[in-house]
Amino acid sequence: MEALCEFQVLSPTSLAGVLEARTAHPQAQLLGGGTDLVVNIRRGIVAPAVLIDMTGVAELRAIRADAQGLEIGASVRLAEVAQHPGVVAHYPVVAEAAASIAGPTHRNMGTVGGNLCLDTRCIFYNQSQWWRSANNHCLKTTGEICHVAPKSRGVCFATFSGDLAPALMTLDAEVDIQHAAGKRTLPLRDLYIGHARHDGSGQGDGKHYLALQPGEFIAAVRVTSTPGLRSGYDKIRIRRSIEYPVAGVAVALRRVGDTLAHLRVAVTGTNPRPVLLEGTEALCGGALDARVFKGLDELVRDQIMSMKTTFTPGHYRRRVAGVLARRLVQRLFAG
Amino acid sequence: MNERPSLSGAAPVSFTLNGIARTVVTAPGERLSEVVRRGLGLTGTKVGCNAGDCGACTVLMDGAQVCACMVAARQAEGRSMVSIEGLAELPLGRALQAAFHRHDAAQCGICTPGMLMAAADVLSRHASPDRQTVMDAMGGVLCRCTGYLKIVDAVLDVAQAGLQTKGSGARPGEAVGQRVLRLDGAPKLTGEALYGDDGAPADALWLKAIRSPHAHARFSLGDLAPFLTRHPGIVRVFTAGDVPGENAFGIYPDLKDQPVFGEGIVRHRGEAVLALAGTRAALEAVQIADLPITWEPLPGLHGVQAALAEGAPAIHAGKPDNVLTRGVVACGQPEAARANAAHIAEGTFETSFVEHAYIEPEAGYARRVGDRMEIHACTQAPMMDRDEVARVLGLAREHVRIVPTACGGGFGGKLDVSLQPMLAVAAWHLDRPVRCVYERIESMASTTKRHPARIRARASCDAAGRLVSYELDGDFNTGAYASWGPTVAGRVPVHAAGPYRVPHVRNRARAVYTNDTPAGAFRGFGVPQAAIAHEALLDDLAEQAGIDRLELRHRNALRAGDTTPTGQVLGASAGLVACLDALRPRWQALLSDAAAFNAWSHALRRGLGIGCMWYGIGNTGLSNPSTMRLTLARDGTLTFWNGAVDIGQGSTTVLTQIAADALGLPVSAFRLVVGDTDVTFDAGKTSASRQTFVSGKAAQLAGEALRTRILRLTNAGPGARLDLDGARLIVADGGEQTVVDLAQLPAAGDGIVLEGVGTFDPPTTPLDAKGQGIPYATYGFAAQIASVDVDLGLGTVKVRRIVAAHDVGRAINPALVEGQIHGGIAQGLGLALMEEFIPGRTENLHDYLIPTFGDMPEIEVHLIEDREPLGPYGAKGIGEPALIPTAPAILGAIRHATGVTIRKVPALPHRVHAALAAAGKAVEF
Ligand SMILES: Cc1cc2nc3c(=O)[nH]c(=O)nc-3n(C[C@H](O)[C@H](O)[C@H](O)COP(=O)(O)OP(=O)(O)OC[C@H]3O[C@@H](n4cnc5c(N)ncnc54)[C@H](O)[C@@H]3O)c2cc1C
Ligand code: SF4
Ligand code: FES
Ligand code: FES
Repeated sequence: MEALCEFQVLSPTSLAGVLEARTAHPQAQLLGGGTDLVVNIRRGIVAPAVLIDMTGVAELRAIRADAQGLEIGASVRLAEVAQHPGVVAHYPVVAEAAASIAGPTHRNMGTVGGNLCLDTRCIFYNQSQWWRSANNHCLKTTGEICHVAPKSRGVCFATFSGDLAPALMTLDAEVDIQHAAGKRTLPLRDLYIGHARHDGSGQGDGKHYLALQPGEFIAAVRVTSTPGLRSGYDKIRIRRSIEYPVAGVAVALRRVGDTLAHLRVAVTGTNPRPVLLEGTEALCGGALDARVFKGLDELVRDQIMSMKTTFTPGHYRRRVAGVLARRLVQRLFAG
Repeated sequence: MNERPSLSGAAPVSFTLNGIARTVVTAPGERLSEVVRRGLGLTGTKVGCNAGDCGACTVLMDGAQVCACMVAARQAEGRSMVSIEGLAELPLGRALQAAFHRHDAAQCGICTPGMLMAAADVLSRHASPDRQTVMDAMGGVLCRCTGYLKIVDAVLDVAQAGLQTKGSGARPGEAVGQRVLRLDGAPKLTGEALYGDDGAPADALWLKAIRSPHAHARFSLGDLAPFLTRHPGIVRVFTAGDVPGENAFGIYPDLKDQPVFGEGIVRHRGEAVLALAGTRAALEAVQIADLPITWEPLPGLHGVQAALAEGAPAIHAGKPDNVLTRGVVACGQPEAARANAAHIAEGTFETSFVEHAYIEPEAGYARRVGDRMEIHACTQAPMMDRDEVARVLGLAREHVRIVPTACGGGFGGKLDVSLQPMLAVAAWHLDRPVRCVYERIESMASTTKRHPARIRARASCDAAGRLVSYELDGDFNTGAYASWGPTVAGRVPVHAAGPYRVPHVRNRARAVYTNDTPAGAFRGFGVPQAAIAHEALLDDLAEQAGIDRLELRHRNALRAGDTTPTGQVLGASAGLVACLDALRPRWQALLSDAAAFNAWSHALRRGLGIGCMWYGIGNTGLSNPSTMRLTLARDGTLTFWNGAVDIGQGSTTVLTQIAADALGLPVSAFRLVVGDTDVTFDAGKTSASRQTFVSGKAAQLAGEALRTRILRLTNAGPGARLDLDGARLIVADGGEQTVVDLAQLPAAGDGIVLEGVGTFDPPTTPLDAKGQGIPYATYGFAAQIASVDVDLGLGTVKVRRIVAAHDVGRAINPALVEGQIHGGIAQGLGLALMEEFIPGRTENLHDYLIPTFGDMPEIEVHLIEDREPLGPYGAKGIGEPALIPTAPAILGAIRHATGVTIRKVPALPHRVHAALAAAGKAVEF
């Protein structure tokens, strides 16, 4: 039997109730479907004393998806996202990503907020207390060094593995962040701060991977209308279900005549953040030719990490992320 | 949990479960699975991992399938839930249960409650789902036994009410060969079957082992008194000093090298150093750091290379070179013969630790009854458990009773004792029932695995493709303790040249101690590893000789009358040629299909592979008898006393079918008593694919013996027809009918009036120093074809189709045989493509990957029935043979598709990709 971690669960039914609970329990952690958090608690990785259950909050459970735009509340279940006719019709990349997460049981419980805030993963972190205690823990918990990169100088490379974030990022999504004093809106890409710069210039890494301040939480994620955009998601996995992405790639592009007019590519399962590749604009404006693919390769090579945080070697993940990206671009461009 | 911890945050939760409104006070942090199982006592919902990885805990919450182990109990507030106990009330619930039974979709049954709930979810959403929809929608639940296909069939059957396959009740004397429905199937479909963690007495204390986090370390225990003061719920600590008998267990009589509790030293990570008994809440509150244990980690020997290196320290005193045992089979002059051969193929192959991943972790309870010990736990080998526990307690064997619970999968992993000795020690001292269930991580870290192998092999043939020689050197990592290491080292040399006529052979295998997790028995005892090598080399030779791969195997296949490398002449029942003949049309069709596909496909390449195998049924060159007993009581009760535990493979059903036909009464007439060591004879272990052949023969002899007694009593001839009507036994012979009133016959104390006992021990001889002799009385043969698509850009492999032909002698129950083949193929696919246990790393079911629904290929089964004269009604075994040809066939198909030979399994995408890249075959699109 595993160590029992005691926690108290508060179940507010309104946004006001959440804010109240947060004020009363500043150290509380939010609970979505619990498909990530409850497992981590059992492993003794995190030990929050209070959980605030977000799934009963009426304001966070709405989903609106039509040609005009997409807005999904943080407590909407993944299964609902995957099956929603409006999402499937207008934002296929989002539906495909949602449908690829874990297995049906997880998608029935797991929420959009939980998936966007999914804890980063590492073979030295997602282990039992027993295991970590024999391996001197590591930076992400209570240890001194990073076992993946012992010379990392305080930087953690644990990998972000959520499938939804890259999909939404290719659509230039924004997140609504709620806090006691009100609300702020951030481009989704800026929610993720895990740049993990060895030189210490970046603010975040695998340990501090979200731009949320204490007391803040995700209320909704939003995409404005994307007429003419073609999008898709694909992930490499070793088996067909219940598996995190070995690498996942989302692509959104627009084709005008024979010209690639717009291109966004985002990758998950490689870095401490989902990476929206920078520099894809420069690849647009012409035909989809070797130059585009070569350029895409370079972007992947420069921006995608190859740290050994999973059982699959990093260089393989980077390499095949490139293959998936090329394939998706080609398929979507062809229509 | 029987004692609720009185924690400050304990709060009531109200919900509806199976239509009944419930309010339960839950401890803070409790999850729905615990509330349902322990709080409400509804143990039909299973727990396989406690981490969202296996789906055994699947229930419906507001109509949607969810894993109860990930739902914080509080989140159930106000919800409406259905668990397996309420399934029958759902619209299609009963139909689903019936269809699962009809299709034999539940083998061990541990995944079945979760499967049924997922199925109910699917059918409530889709009126007429197709195969793909069912597979996608049930993908959250793992099954290790069935290979999923029969589950899909069962669900589609209910959806379409069209796919009906009929099980049959079978008339007297005609049970053999029928698809008799699993006799112990019904309780598995309702959640009533009691597995290891389901039936402990209410007053049982809990036991928790404290295990070494280090692979190799010295340790010392400090003063335990302060620890016990700090944890008042802990009743007692047990260490090596508390073992009343011998602090050692092991499979072989002369190799009891594994301690119940380590004594000052641990040799692998996960080794138990002590155990705590107390309330569940108290044990859950304990962290390893709370205990006064001082560890002094030592360098460990990991992998056989390290253990065999010059100057490596000895892990066990008696084995200075760390070699546990050696096995050899030698005949002819391989070197000289090879020198004259036309073609030579050679290679080095490597396989990984493989975890059994049965969905039920080890669980059970022990209780002391006077000066006897009684253990109720899931197991594959009750008699062996009895003897081990007796030694540990210092008792006579008769003073130990093993009562096997339902077993949620074994595959070899529940042949060794695990928690039994610890439970026995604790219950002995406390004189109170003590229960234990391993958590998934503990189960994976501490119990046996498939031996990783490093194999160097060389084969040669003449210009016509006839095999000339085979030489193999194999090192098998047996981990820190012997377990079944000697069996592997003994079995591999016999089988390593494959199911072929090879005149010149020299096969050597070693089992090597390391500081890794102990390796033991796993479906095939090293033969699956060796088959990967021989089949790859045969493909090589076929290519060199320019002969079709199937034809080359056909040419070399062992036939009746041939001599094997151990000098044994196969008398009969060597059906490989028939298997290959059955496959040939499919082979040709699939070859054309692959060629047509590859003509236009760019990044996806299709390939076809073939794997053949043979497998000796029963123990290698050792006596392995089984005894079965049938009795008729004066009230007319016909009882089958059967010591062979059914771990899901179906022996309870198969043996009863055999006994029924031998006796001449229908299967439905039997009362079954299975496994209890107090009342059944030793049937030997449920391993080595031996139960159908060995215990089946014993069951046949028992049936015949009882029949003979009845016929003699009534002076009836051999063709007489029997009928049992209450206490009236009616014997009809020709026109004459005699009625025996059983109540009038003189009875023994237990009311038994007639009895038949049968014993069978397959005729074998021990192997001599050169491995010559008759190691097995009979062999199973098989061949499988795999069709795969390899993605040259990603290195991923999708197995599309497996065509399997198995010579089983006689299929006593074709449905169960197919089930074994499907399940074996699933495990073979896992071995080939994804399963890699890394000690201290992949000790959970999401880093250690086993196949899911969506990974299964279409499977076509051809049953070849080349009768074995020694076997019951001609039957041999199927359990292990099912798995062995799959990985070689898949690897051969990858090579056919890409030209690249994968020499280390599993062929994970990154390994395949690296091999493709090295050969210049990887593509960028
Ligand atoms: C076997 C298995 C396989 C999995 N496979 C995948 C996979 O393939 N792809 C994938 O993406 N995920 C996978 N997961 C992870 C997980 O199931 C999903 O990511 C899921 O979406 C998490 O959502 P949740 O609501 O259950 O999150 P929770 O576990 O409830 O929460 C996750 C984190 O998010 C925080 N959080 C929750 N809601 C909010 C909010 N509104 N604002 C701020 N923070 C919040 C929590 O505090 C917590 O830190 C897998 C999990 C398991 C157990
Ligand atoms: S990347 Fe390094 S610091 Fe981060 S979790 Fe892994 S081992 Fe720990
Ligand atoms: S026990 Fe819940 S998923 Fe395994
Ligand atoms: S029947 Fe599915 S795990 Fe045994």
